[in-house]
Amino acid sequence: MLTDEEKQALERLVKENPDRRGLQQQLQRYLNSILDRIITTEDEIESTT
Amino acid sequence: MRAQLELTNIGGFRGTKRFEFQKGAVNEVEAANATGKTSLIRGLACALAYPLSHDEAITEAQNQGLRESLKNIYENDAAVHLIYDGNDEEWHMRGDGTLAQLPKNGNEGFLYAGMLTQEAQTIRQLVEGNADFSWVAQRLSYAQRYATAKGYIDSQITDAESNLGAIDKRREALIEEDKALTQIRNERAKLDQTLDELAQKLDERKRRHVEQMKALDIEIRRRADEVSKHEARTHVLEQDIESLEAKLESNARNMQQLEERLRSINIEAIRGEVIQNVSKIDNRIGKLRREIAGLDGQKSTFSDAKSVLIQRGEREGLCPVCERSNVDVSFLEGKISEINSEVQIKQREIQALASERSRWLQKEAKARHEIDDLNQLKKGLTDEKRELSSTKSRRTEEFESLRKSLENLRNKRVILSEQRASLGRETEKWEAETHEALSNAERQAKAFDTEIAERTRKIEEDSLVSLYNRERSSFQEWENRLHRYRNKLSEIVEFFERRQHQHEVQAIADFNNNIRSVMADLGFTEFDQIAIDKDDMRLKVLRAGFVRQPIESLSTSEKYSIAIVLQIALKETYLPDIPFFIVDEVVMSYDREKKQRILDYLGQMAKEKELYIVVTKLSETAGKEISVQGR
Repeated sequence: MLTDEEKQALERLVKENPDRRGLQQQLQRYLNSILDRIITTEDEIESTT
Repeated sequence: MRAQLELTNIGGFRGTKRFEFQKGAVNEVEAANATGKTSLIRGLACALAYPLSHDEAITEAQNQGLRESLKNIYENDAAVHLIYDGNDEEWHMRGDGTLAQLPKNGNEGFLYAGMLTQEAQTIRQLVEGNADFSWVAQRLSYAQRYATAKGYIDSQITDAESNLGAIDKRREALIEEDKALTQIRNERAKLDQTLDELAQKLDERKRRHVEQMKALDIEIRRRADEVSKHEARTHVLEQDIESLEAKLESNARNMQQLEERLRSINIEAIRGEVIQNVSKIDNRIGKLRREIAGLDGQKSTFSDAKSVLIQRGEREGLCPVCERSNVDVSFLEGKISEINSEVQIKQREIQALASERSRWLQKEAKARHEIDDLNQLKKGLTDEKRELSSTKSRRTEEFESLRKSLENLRNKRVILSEQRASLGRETEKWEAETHEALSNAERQAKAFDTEIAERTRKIEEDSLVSLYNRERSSFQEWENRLHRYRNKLSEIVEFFERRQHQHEVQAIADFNNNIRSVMADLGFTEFDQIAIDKDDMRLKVLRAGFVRQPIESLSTSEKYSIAIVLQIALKETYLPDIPFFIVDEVVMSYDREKKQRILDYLGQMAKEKELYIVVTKLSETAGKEISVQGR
């Protein structure tokens, strides 16, 4: 489930990007950060195991 | 305050046309037919609706003639320049249809909610009897942003799933590739085995060849020895036979001489001669013996006479023979001696005759002996000839046998030599073939090694993937990441979906409220309710008594009435920030009172909300140039 912070971030993205291209760009940036987080978490798990 | 519009090569306009619109007023664009009313409306709409970011909006712009068809057919570039409320918007299309410049603050919602022309979506749907108004919430409300966001996240989910699928496929391909590699390795191992087997076979074949060659050499040598022995023996036999032939020739000559000799001995003649001579000799001997006997008588007489004389002591006495004269002892002795000599002579003659007789007899015997000897010799020669012939025959037979045997041996030796040569050739051929097979197998092995190395390298390389411009990692890592990523995306989609729905429901509620308000303001009493059903997003028209009327059964003027209500409500609900609203007079073909009521409403609306409302009006004067008049 999305956290409140994540929901707020998404809401902010939608609100601040009325045009489609801008919205998509910001969403992509957000998704990149998610992917980075997943990879980082994975590395952390690997480094601790 | 005024808005300034400058159209260059738009629609029917060639060159640049300038217009001004009054704020807070209804601006009547009056002109005769085909003098630029539509071009003006479209040019203005371009400056307000572009840029278009959704495919549906681009299609809608196409439907409303706001794309390439907007350009004047005689000119290349087309441009719109609109200055209003501190905004300076430019729209510029090149000759090839590409857009060189776009307004900064346009809103594609203007296509749906900012103008009511015959090409507007509202009119089109009502005319067609299409009640599906889901686009209202989806394209105009704030929900659209969530829909866009959701659509984008959906596309990312599709990408992620596609990546997962690609990883699956790649893994399957790698498994297949691994299987293929294992198969190649097995084939390589088999090839090694084949190489070993070929090498072993070659060694075995060489060993067997050497053994066979040795055996053949021994056999050939043995045959050669036999041939030599046979040849020596044959030579000996030839000499033997020659010697035997010489002996036989000698034997034949001897036999001939013997026969001649035998033929030369006439035993009868010899016998006759011997008998004749022996008879003569016997007669003579008989005669001599008788003479000797006579002499012996005389001698005896004389001896007796002597003895008597002596005995008597007489000196003489009568001759005992003649008995007439006297004779003394000496005489007698002389006579005796004389007789003795004569006897001796006779005896010597007898002896000689006996010898001669013996010689004659011996001559026959000798002839007979010679004949016997010759016969004996003949027999010996005959025996010798037989013996020699028999020996020659045996030798010849042996020689022939040996000759045949020698020929056989030579033939066999030739056959063996040919076998040896053939074996050599065969082995050479086999060896060459085996070497070629070995060489081929080694080449194949090298090719296998190269392929194995290449495939191994490829597998190792392909077992790593790079996605989203990030580092190369293993399938498993990316699969895990993608599952987590997709789950997160799904959560985001759910969130956006929920938010979209909430906004749609709210947007429709707002829209329906505004419809109700506009209807009331316009005094539209022929319908109890016009609204979008929030469940199926379809337009619902209820006549008096709340009886639902299918859209397709409405009259054209009713459809236009509903359209203007809906369009005003759309503008108020979804496009409050764009201060323009365009209405084509064509859709206001009502009675004068109703039309005026609408124009009054629009005028009121323009004033209250400080809008530039643009309404086209067909000039009753033919050929009247286009003009804009704010009221």
